[in-house]
Amino acid sequence: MTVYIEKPAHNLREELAQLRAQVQAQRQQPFWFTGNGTATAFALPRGWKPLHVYSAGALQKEGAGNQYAIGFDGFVYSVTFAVAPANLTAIAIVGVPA
Amino acid sequence: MQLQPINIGSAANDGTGDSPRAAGQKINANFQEVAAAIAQQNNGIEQKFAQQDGAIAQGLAALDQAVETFDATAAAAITDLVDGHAQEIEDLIQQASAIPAHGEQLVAMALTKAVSAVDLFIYDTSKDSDGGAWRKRCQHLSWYNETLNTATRGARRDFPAVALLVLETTKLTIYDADDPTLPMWMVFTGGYAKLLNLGGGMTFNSIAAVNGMVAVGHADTGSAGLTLVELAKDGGRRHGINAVAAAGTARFAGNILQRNDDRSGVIDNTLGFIGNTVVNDVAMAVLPDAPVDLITGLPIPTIAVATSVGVSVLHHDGAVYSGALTNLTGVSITIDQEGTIWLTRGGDRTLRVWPKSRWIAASTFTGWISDAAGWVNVTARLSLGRLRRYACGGQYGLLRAIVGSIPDNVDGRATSLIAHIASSYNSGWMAGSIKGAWLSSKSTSNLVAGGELITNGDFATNDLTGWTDASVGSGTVSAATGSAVLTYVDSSNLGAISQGLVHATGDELTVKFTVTGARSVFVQLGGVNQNSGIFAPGTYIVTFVSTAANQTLVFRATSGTGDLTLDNISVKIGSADRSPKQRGLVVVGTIARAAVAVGAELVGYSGFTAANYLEQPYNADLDFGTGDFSVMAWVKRTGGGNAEIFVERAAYSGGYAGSIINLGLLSSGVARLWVSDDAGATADAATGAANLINSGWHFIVGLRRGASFELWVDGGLAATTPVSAAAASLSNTSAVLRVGGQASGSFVAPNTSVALLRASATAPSADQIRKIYEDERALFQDGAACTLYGASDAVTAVAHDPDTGLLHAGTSAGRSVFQGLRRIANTANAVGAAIAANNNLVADD
Repeated sequence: MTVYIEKPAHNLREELAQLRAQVQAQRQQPFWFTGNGTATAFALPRGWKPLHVYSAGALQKEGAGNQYAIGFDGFVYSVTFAVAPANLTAIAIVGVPA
Repeated sequence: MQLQPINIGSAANDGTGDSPRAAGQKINANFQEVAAAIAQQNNGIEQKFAQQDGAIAQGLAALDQAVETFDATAAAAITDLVDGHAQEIEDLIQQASAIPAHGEQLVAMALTKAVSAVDLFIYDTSKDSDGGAWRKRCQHLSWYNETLNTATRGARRDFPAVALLVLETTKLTIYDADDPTLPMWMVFTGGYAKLLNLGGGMTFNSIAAVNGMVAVGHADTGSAGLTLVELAKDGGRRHGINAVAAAGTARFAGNILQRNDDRSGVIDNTLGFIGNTVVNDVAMAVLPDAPVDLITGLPIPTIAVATSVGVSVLHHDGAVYSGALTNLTGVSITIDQEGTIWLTRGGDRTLRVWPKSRWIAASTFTGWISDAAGWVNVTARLSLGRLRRYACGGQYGLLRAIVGSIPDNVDGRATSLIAHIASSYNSGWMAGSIKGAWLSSKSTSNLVAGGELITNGDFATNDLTGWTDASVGSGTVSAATGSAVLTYVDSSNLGAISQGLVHATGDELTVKFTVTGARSVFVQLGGVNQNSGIFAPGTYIVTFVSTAANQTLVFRATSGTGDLTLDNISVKIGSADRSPKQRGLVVVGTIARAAVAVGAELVGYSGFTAANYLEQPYNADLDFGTGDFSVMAWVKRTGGGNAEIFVERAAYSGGYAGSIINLGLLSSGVARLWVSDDAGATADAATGAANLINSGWHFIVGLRRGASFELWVDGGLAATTPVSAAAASLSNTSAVLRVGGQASGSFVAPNTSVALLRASATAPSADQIRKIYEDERALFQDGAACTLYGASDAVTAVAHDPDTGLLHAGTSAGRSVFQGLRRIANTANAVGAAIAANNNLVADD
């Protein structure tokens, strides 16, 4: 058989704009929540993905058997704590663009 | 003669001057003399001018001749110059044309390579961990200093920023995709004890690359089936099941310059063994916590290998984790950025998912998503896009999925959206536990009821009249008691019956039957796998789409205990169900089908009256009880003054009984979900506010989510009402599903067209509803294509473009390009083996 290769003409200015967008996409953003003693799941805004999770200022550990797990329903990422953070606990989820 | 002066005397009248007559004579003579002199002068001047004109003319003529001579000579010289440097000039022209006008445009690429690829990979080094900077730190390596312009080495020293890797059965060629002509950059020849290890008679099958490393797999029965070409380290290594220098697990005893030499290997006991030498597919990813390689400074990739006995993961820390799986023919594997492994295998409808937390704990595969790997016979490699947009192809079409939660010990189907796309239909997004997906064809021919196609389906004659005894071996069949009884001894001795049907090619046949006892039945139409299934005792309505005219329907006893009892067999022309349930609708009367927009492929179904409708007999899958459910469809109403119900599930026999669920547009044009658990005595209704009549197509979703009924219109929540009057179970063992009116025959929908009707035991999330709406409304635009290009459903390759989000799917008819659910482009070159796509650069074979 034959290998067919194609690529349309490309505008360099557009390519540079895309590269600038990729640089911007590396930014990190903290999202703040407050525990109420019962809620275990905290959803990030659509388009953001959890990088680090802090509860009462302490960095939490992800994974089965650890402090939290990350979920994704195909559209929104969420952090689910194994134990609900106490009432008024400050929760910070540092996110990166998904 | 000299001029004669006139004697004028000394004084006037002194008598000494010339007489007047004499003076006049002198005057005349003088004038004559002057005139003659002038004439003579003129003649001289004219002669001189003539001479000069002649000289000038001669001179001009000579000049002309000289110029002509010069022109001819110069032209000849220029021509010779051009001819002698034609190629250089052509190259310059090409280079000039490649220079962007005003520095803004890179020219398009469109070329071919006369090779047969078994796999393709576009290696974009900008996606490496250092953005490809490693390419500039290779000046000391053997391949960098290799002699250029040979049969196995191109004209460029440094590794391209973008390279096309073409893997043939016994050779790997790397092409420079920075150059629009894609010249060869380097060739690796496979062979025993070469860097690209390849056992005798074996062939390569898979390739991947990242961070300066290329992984190549082949199904070797003896030596290492996985080779890693380490470009940034100027070497390579192999992984098999044991440490053998020549072609087993070892480091290549040479550098890349020596890649095509027989160099054996060097045993390195730090190299792990994979599960088997037979490698069927390979994938690579750099995980977030990857350590940096001591030599290259690049994070070490994690490599997932599908072997003949399972999956082996070469973790970036050097450890190898293996999990067992069976039936790995036609396997395809990938690994995502979180380290989750995704795997499909031939003949299996299930997508296997193995999170890192599981494989690193050395446990078996624990996650799966049922019906997410194609209905039957997955043959194409799967492809994973961003945000768990997943696709795979098989013998019967393309499957797209948006996977929700990664399952662990549970079926992840319930949180996912799946769409099935073939050459003749597009199911639309099916949410969660889908129970039916209808009205998704692109055929514009009317659906016409054809009556019962089966003779003696109820065996009322107490014999096999109309049937053929198709038993095998010592198996038997009888019908003495008013149903067919099939015996079973083993797979070579079993009872079977068959009957030839009269129908046209492509007819969608709804087959209904009842199985009792403790043994399952195998049902097949026309001897093709796509039209077959095994059914445990129960009552079924399945849809088979005939692949030829006048096919034979077969029932065969299979697993279980005791005899198989069959009864109430019915086959009618129907409308197919494109969900895994394959429970079609029966056509009553005539239903019209027409494109939903000018030139669009998707069709809407219309012409509903009390005598023309679609109906599905009782289907237990639609007994939703008190649980969540959803019914969704696209509808367009063009007038009428009454309420028009376009879908209802209810039991009616002179009066309603039990639960009723319907969706429709009221006389005011507003949409309404209406639910009753007591035959309509009381009901809950979620009613919209917008008049949808004469306003084109609209997406309507009616659902129950916990303690609420919701109505969604065009992706937005239009109404919600608490579950109150209809709080009891909505299961109804007498209910039918009718499209085009109520089960009673009332409130029919003569002014309503319906498309993409679906029912699910899942209430899709708000995001999922919005996604469904946004993707599907693109199919209702003029000229919208939504199926695989051509007439073939057999998808041979799929690939996501990670930069554009486009999905490429190849068949024997060509490559279809999808944005969401809409096919936006296609080629007409058959795709037989592979597709690779990256930033709009696409290669296929």
